[in-house]
Amino acid sequence: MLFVGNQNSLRKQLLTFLMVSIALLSLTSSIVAAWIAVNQSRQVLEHHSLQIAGNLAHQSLLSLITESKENADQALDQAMAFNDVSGVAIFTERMLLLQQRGEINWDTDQLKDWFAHPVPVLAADNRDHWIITSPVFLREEQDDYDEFELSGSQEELMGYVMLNVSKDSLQTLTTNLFSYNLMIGLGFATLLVWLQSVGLKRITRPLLNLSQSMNEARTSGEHNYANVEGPMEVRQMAESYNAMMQVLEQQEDKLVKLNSGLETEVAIRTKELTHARDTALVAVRTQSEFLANISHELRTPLQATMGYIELVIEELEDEAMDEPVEDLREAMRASTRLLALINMILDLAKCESGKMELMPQEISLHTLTQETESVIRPLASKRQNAFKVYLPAEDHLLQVDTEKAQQVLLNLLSNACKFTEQGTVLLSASVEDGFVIWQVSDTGIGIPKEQQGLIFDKFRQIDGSVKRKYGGTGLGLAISKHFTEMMGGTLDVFSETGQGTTFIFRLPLVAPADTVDQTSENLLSKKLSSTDLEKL
Amino acid sequence: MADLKRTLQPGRWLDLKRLFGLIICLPMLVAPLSAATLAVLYPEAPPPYKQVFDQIVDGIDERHADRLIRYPLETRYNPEQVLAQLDRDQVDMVITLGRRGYSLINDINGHYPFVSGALPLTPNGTLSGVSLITDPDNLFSQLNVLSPVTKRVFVLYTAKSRWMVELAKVSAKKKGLELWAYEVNTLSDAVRKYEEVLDNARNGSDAIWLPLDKVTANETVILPMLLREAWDRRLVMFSSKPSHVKRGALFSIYPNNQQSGERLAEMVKELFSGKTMPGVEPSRSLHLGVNLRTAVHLGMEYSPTLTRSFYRTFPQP
Repeated sequence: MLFVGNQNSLRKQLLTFLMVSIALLSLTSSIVAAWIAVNQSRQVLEHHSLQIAGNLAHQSLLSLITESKENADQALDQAMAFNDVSGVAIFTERMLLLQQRGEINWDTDQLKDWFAHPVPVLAADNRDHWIITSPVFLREEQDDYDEFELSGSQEELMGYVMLNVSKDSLQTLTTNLFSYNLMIGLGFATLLVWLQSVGLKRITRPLLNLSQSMNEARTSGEHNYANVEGPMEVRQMAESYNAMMQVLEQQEDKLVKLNSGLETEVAIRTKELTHARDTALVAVRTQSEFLANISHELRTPLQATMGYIELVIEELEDEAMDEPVEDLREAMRASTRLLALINMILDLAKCESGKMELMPQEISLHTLTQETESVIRPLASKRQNAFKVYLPAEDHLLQVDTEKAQQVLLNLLSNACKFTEQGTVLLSASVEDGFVIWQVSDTGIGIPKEQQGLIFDKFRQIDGSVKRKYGGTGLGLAISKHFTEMMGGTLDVFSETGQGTTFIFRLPLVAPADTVDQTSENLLSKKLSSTDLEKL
Repeated sequence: MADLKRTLQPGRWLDLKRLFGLIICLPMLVAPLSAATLAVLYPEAPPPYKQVFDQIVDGIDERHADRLIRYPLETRYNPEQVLAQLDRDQVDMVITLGRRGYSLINDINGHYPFVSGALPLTPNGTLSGVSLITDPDNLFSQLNVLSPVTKRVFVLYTAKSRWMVELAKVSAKKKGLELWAYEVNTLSDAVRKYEEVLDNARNGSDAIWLPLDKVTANETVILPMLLREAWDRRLVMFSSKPSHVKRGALFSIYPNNQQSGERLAEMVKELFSGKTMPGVEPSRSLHLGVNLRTAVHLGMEYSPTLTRSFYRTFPQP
């Protein structure tokens, strides 16, 4: 909008509005005044022309009575003496030309229409001239009061007169009126605009000063006070502004004081929290390092012991001493379980200390699943469980850390076989939206709702009775959860007590890029056997 | 009544009956002559024209001693109502004044004896009244007084004014004037004839008379032309129409309304009595109106006594 643009000052907007209003007013009044004047002039000229026609008709009477051109000359000369009359003509009652003067043209066919009126009329209104006609009557003149006459007045048509009235003077008058009125109007408008500008400058100065004070306060951030001046409304605004500044100043002082106290307290708390965090991190790291160290320290002599036991078994078998061999084999199995436990503790420690790394490899979905199936099937049959595997018809190539993925599957399936007797264990695989989804279901004892959130904690089993009945370390699901998250997947559980349990294991078909090509230690130095899994 | 018959003797009773009948019949015998009711029908005119009719009616009233009933007629009057009123009023004779009263003559003709006035009447054998047209004898008498050197009088007239010209011819001869009268039919004839007259007229001894004629004294064409030419040629021009004096004619004669009224009363009484048929008489007024400026232009000087005798003079002071 021209008048209410936010970019312009109030004075400029008011001035623009007034300027346009005055200009419109001046223009309109000038045009209207000129139009009225021209219209009146036109009426006057028309009336004047009709009068001239009437007079000419009166003066033409003698010439028409005598049909004398000489008698017509004087009447025509008198009519031609008028400025706007450019031509005159006298016609007989048979519409034949008697005499004419000046420039006047007519079409004989038009005469009948032009002469059809009983009084002087404007017969034709052309662009630059009028044609005025009047009949010429011979009337019996009577006194004003006709009671002294035997009969009323009678009139006889003697002929017609025609005038050609030029519009030059009217057009000149029109042009002059419009141009002079416009010039005067515009001059007056300019003067008014100048006066308005001066007046508005004086009126809006206090408002401008107030605006500048506010703007300075905004840009500098200081509490500038405005001068209280100008009209009542502006003074009220300045007083309100000053009061607001005063309140703001007081509040800011309070805020500064409060802020400094808060900053001190926050610094103290931050220091305490940092210390606690550092302590916790150190404790975790120490714990993990301890676990790693102790596991390593335990594994070395254990492996040596197991090696010696195996040597002794071989020697005793050679000597056919079967009885001690069986005892040593039992010792060997116990050592193997202990080694598996130590390996798992080592893996968990590595995970928690951030030292576990991924090593993605390409493997087909069918291969990975079938390898897992071959490991688990003996375990399932041990408790008379039916083990079913469902694979998609179309095979897919996976790029995953094969060892960790298979370990997760083995952990889930071994758990299912462990907690299910004479039931069904189901492994199905599918591919959906760039993810491979394994579903491990059983018809075992199930997991209570309140325990479902805790089963992924390390060393956690449902309760002591379970541990006693089924054995295990309580580390399998914790490690599985760690591995799944490392590989960018998810592991979820759905279970009802006594109805069975279902785990959903999802992995991206392609491992995250930052894990590819990284050298990694093969933490699982060997594949777990079904016997090892049973011990997890 | 029986007692009365018994009281009176038969012979005396007969004498009384004759005397009684004579007493009853006497007013009926003298009424037509001495107690005739006269009705005056005249227009309800605005001032100053009302004064003209009032003066005429005053003149009638002056000469009519018996019952006079005035019937002012409005612009849109009902003729039947007026005639019925005349019957109810048992009117014996009627005088109509002006055109409004004159329009009733066809209805009252045959019912009442009537005469008309306040109009430029012309004789037609059946109508009686006093015309506004001035008697040429009076005009020529005044011409002899106001312009004694004038010997020839030129006049143009139409058939309607022929009766007046006939009177004028007789009068001119009596007054020692030579009347040159030309009858024309149309205005263009009149213009051409006036041009001839003007070409032949001699100032001093010749005069032009404008009769009360709408063609030969046309005020639109003829009068302006004659006034201009007469002024230029110093010709005496007089008129039968009083208003021409104001416009430049040397003189004219204004009607004497009172006198006309008196004469109308006499004429209607003559008709009522069945003596004569008066016919149309010209106005015999002597109210002279003179344009002194024209007179001075023509070189005429009038004595104060003569000037004081003028009824009206122009230009008016």
